[in-house]
Amino acid sequence: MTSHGQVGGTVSAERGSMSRLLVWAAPDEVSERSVRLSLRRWMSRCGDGFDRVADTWSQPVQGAVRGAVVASSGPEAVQALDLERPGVVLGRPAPELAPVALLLPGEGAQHHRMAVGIYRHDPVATEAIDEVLDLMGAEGDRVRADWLAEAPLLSPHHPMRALPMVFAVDYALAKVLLAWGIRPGVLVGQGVGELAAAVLAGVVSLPDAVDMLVAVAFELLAAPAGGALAVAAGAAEAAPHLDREVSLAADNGPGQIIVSGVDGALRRTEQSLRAVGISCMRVRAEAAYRSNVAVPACDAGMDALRGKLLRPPTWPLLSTTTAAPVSAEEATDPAFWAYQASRPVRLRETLNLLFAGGGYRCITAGPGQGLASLVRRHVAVATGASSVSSLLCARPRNADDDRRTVLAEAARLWASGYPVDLEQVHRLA
Amino acid sequence: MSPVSLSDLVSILAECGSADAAVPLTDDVLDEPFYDLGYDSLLLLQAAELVLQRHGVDVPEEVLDLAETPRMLLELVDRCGRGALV
Repeated sequence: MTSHGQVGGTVSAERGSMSRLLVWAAPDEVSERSVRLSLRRWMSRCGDGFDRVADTWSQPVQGAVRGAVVASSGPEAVQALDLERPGVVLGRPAPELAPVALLLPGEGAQHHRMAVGIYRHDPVATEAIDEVLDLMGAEGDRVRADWLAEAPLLSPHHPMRALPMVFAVDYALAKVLLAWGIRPGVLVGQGVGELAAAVLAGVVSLPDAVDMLVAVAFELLAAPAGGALAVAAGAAEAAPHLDREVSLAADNGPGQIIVSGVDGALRRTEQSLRAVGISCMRVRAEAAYRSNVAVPACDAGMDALRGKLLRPPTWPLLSTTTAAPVSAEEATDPAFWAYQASRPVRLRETLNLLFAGGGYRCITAGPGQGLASLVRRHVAVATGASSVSSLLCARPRNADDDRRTVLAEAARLWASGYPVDLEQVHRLA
Repeated sequence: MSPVSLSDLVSILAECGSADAAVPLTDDVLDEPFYDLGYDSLLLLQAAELVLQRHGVDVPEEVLDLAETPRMLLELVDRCGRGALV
């Protein structure tokens, strides 16, 4: 071993072509390069012993300069470790780390087989997802079967699939981050992500949250057929062109809103917007979420949540429904949670409020990258005062891509100095 | 129909992202995924509509969906312009 870096070692079972996280550290940049070079040399000689090398380089090490790489084979690691064109994550832990804002996406973020690569691979995520689905009884089994199926019976965008699965994946990924030792300074959820945030903040128990969610999803099936439209305009600009049966579902940013409503009204709105040159497109929503159409579903949610124990948040919780911190009074009012599904998501104002409070290291824990791309467009992120990254990628090509992106986030967090329990990270295997 | 150059496409994308603070597209980000640059499918649709308006090149939504990076988008716009993709 080199004298410049310290490495520990363990041996674990064969993991096939699974992505692995390798880490190293050194006192300064020059010795970091030499550690990396020796890892590269070792890796290029290892032949099919990639897992053995990965095991040896998996342990936390000391040093002012940190490096990490995610790879699933020796040749891939060798390429990433190239000194001239590095595909590795390098960092120098700063004395002051920006607080973490945990962002949980909502309905609309779902896609076919989202996050399946971590299920039955990460014990924390697996337990969390099973916990949610087991609480749904027989329907939970059907949700799981459809989620994992190449050809599901119900589309991932069906309310009884999208709502529980986005909730479950958000909750599971947040649990993974917590298990790594990340302590968010604030939780922010969009749509069902806000309910997941409420569970994480101790406001509502998981069984009560799932009961409410299922009641809402079930009742939405009886609502008139509807959907949502993403509109490339601000709320004020788009307002004159909306059909009267279409309303604002989400204010995502200065140049993007989502409107929702029943199908016919949405089509009329689409035509009016196009006629004045405003771009719009249907989004993956098979219900008129966040509109008056959802009120009967919210009534059902209210019936499910009434009388249940609700507590003030034990963690700072920013509501995208009110664009304000959730007060103790709001948190303990079942109507506050039950009727969110009929009120617009005020993401633009919520992000303004969040970033007015200082710089944040935002992590989106949930499917896709839609929320991350909206956050990335905020001026606070564009100017570098805050940053954002995601635990999952927008378009995983295969299940290992899910594991790779989760590990890549662990790599970034560790390299920039966040306390990350690497033993926990390596449980993703 | 007029050919769409890289600089045409970059300025169209910048125009679409101008309401927000989307990452400016410089040479070194042409192979970055659009999501990492703050561009989502709605911004790309806006860009495709401007490409059609100004250059007469029609990039259908399902083709647009294949463009993961600015360079891939340029390639797809070029193919659509040459009628190589319908």
